[in-house]
Amino acid sequence: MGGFEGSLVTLRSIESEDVAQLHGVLEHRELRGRRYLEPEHTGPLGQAEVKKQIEAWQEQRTGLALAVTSRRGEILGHAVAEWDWDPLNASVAVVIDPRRWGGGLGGEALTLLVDWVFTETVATGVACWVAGWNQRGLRFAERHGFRLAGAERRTGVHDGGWFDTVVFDQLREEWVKSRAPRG
Amino acid sequence: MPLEGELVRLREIRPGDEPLLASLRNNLATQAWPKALPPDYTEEMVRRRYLDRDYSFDRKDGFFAVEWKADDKAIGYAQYSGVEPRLRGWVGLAMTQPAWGTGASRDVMELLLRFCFEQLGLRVTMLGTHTGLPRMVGLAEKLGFKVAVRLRRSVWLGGEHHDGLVFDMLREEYYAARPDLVDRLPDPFG
Repeated sequence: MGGFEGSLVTLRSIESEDVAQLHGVLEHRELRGRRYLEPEHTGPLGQAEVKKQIEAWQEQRTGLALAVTSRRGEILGHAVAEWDWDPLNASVAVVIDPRRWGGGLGGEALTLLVDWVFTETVATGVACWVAGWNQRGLRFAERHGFRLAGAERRTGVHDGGWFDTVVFDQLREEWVKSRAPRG
Repeated sequence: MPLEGELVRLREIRPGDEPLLASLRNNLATQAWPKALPPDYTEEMVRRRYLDRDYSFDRKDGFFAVEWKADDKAIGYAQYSGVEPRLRGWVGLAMTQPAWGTGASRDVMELLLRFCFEQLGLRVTMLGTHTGLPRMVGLAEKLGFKVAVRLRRSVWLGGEHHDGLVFDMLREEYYAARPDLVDRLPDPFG
């Protein structure tokens, strides 16, 4: 397969043929506003948008965009690491099918992705951005070794009000420490 | 009509500004962003970037030369960028060193802020800098910006790591601190 293998999920390259399956995940109402697509929006999602995003990911040269799949090969979501122009500063995002939340799949996908950033790139730190209304996402980031870096205020509108975007970071030395055997 | 403050005015960039803009970019003390390295910008590069732009009504940024009102001498560069219409945008500036400490930078930023809130109708204005630039940090705080995000060790410049800082200022904070201005744009969720 050639992907990053965990005990629950595999991260593998996203292929053009994945459009329908990934769309099936991302169109879920629960993911509106947290699909980590460009542009992000809270409306219904078309397959053409997913196709365009996959094409953009395939052309990306400063990062990695991967499909998160089950051990049986079913697409569960996507995982993205990128660093714009400066490879010292990466950012990551993981999106998992809401119907599969709660099983540790996102956590394992994030761990595989962050491990890749720190073992295969020169990154000093890695950041992630989470909409302030996404309580589950906020807890998820904190549970997986990210520290609160602050919040950009009033970054958008959601559910009848402004929302902030909360930012987290994790330094390389924190990641190293988190991997050290305990006890 | 150019944007006029107490000390300076912001005007369009014109032929003849290239030497100043290139020198600001090539001076490690006046350009603060590692992405902009190396300091080998030519006047021709500057001309193509600022003077070859197409006419457009779909602008998400604005670039200005800064000049003293007293003698029209150009002393810097100011911009707003990354505008998400009616929501938010970024401001920034680069000033020649003789203009530091004169109040000119503060005047420039007040003009940019006023433009962003009064003309563009933004809800929040943002400013990106880092801890290696204490003068810029001090200016942001004096203007009323608040630190929104501190990304630890995210900037490498001048042989050391610095924390990247995102400052932001909400529309209501801007008007509350400037009682001579009245905000007539209602908050749809207020």
